[in-house]
Amino acid sequence: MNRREHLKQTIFAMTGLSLSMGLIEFFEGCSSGSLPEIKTIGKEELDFLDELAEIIIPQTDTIGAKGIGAAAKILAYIENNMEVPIQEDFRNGLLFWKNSYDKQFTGPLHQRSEEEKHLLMDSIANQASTNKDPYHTPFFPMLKGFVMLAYFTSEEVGKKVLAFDPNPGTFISCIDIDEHTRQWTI
Amino acid sequence: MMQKYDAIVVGSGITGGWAAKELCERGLKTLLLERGRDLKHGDYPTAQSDSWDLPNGGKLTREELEHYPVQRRSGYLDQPTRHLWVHDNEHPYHEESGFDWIRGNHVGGRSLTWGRQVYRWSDLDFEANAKEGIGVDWPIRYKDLAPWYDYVEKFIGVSGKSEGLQHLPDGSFLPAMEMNCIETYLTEQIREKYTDRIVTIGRVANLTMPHLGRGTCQYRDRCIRGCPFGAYFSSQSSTLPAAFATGLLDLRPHSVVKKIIFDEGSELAKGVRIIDAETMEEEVFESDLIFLNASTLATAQILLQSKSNRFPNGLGNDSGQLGKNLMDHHCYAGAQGQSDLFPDKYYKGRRANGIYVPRFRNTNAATTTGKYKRGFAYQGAGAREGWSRSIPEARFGAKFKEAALRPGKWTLGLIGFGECLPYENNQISLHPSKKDGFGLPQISIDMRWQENELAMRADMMTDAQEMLEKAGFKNIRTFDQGKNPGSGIHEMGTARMGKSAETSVLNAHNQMHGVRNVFVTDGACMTSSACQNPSLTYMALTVRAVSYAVDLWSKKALQ
Repeated sequence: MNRREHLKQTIFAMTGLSLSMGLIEFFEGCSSGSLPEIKTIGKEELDFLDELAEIIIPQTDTIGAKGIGAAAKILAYIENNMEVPIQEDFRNGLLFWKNSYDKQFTGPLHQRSEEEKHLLMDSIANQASTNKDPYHTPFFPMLKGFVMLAYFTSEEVGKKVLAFDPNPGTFISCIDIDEHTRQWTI
Repeated sequence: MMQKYDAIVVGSGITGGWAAKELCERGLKTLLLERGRDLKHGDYPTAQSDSWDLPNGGKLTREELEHYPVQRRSGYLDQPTRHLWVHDNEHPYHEESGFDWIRGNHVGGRSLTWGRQVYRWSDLDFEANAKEGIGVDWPIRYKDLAPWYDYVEKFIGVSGKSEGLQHLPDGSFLPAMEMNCIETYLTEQIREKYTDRIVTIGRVANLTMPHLGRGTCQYRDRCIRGCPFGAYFSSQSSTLPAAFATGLLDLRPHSVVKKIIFDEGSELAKGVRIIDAETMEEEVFESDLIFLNASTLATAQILLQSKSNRFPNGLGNDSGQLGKNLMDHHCYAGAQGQSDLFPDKYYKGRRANGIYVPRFRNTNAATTTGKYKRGFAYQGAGAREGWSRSIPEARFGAKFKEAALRPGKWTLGLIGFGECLPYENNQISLHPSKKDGFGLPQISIDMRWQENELAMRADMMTDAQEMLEKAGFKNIRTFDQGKNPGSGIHEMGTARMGKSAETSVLNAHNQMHGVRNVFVTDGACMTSSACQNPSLTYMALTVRAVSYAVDLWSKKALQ
């Protein structure tokens, strides 16, 4: 299967959506493109990052990543905790995909259709899976890891989404659960 | 003005707390010296912090991590515990080879951060050196220590299950914690498929019922931050309150011991010279008895610094063995696997304990392997995977989110804890030129895993893999993280016990052969390392030694 077909089938398998070949060609081209001119992360990039986070963990009957302020948490975490090369890889990845998006669309990411959002994210993931550069960390695993860290360590998720109990008081070694049971703690 | 005590204890961690308690309860006016700051029971600022209360997801920032180039190697350093580890740049030592000295300088020491796993040793361990002609023979056997194990366990509170194994003696247990369903399944499978090994629940110094005024474990799994319920054994929760209750204990934090003062005339130690870490002023305290419990490496350092005309190579070092035979458990090798069983089962509560596979190699003729001497045990746990399992996947979106919110597959891991043989060339010494902030020589540590340990590690992986395979686990992978010595945080040796003053530093009662009023009862005293966690044995040796020492003191035999 060639890469284009793989992209198309992956999107279909994940979303049930069928996409135009024009969009596929565009994002396929992004995956192998060069870095944009370096610039700092501002409000537009912060909003774009929040939208990317929301694609990964969307609001359903429970809060999504944007609702917990994922982008601000992620950027603070990266600035405070990550080594400079990782910071640069993440910033470059974010700017690259923001730049790619801006070339194709006008208006913010949240205005795009679900198909378009999923195609963008799948392209980001696909770039990571085909990345052969040993000196730079791919953007997608960083993005996803930081989004999940921000989401699952947030108070809103701990208290309202998961069955969090700071002081269980007892250990019950074996309980029955069903397909709706969530992780009860973090 | 010099101050006089009946006894001085150096170090307030697991064994120092015990020594202070026992000395005070036997009527001795006792001074407890601690080089770090005071830390009172309940002063655990992060004990109630949830992940969102902590900055940066509980991780340390790059700037904060710069204080901990060694401590961070342990994997235990994070926001909730950072105040319980030393700033390495303020407490330097020289690594001749890679050695992770993981520690905290504060009252209670590592009794606050320890793993709390407590196992008795047996004659398989105490007789091994003599049978194999390695190192020197222990001057004691299990029968000498058994009543003191009882004594200690009844005070600290140990939850566990009796198994009737000769080489892992049962103790005085509180009700055992329960295994979850995957751990129970493994236990049954091992019982069915092996005759030489078992799986049991970890024996842990966490309370499963109220005990001597301390509260029951709340299953928060935040022990390492300090427990406001006093539900695990620490100096703060257990021994120090008992010692203070006698009215005979003085605790002096910020006291860096410079040397033990030796009197050439009486051939006894007269007292201790300290440097006040806040004022940098020196002070001397006199006493009839001195217990060294500063932790293995710090105790050896103090003894090496305590030079005199009689002992030019360190106090009590007639044998030349002081600083030598440094040991640690070699860990971080084993296997883990997944199971598709029990998709409809889960657990509630965070049990701060795991499962234990007692040693099963070289325990008798039937289990002897020619590949290496001694053996290893496994510690492990079964659990359902959490949200981080989903990070490597390329999935995202609503379906992904719902899956990530639910418990993942059952996994079970087994990590070996292997015995390290005593080698003379695994040692510490005083560095000839490097000094610390108090002007004292830094210690230089030279320790390497040797052929026996490396051979054992291969079995740690393959045996765990085989056990998981036979039990039907899937996606099994072995691992050997190959960490430095010290990473087990079970430093032992450097002032070993033995029968002869010519080959050992301490006698059968942890008393210095050459200085009869000095006792060493922390990890420095150990003659071999076994593969069981050593703290319970340190505690039993301490109370036994105090009993002996106070008996001598009462008879005025230490003057």
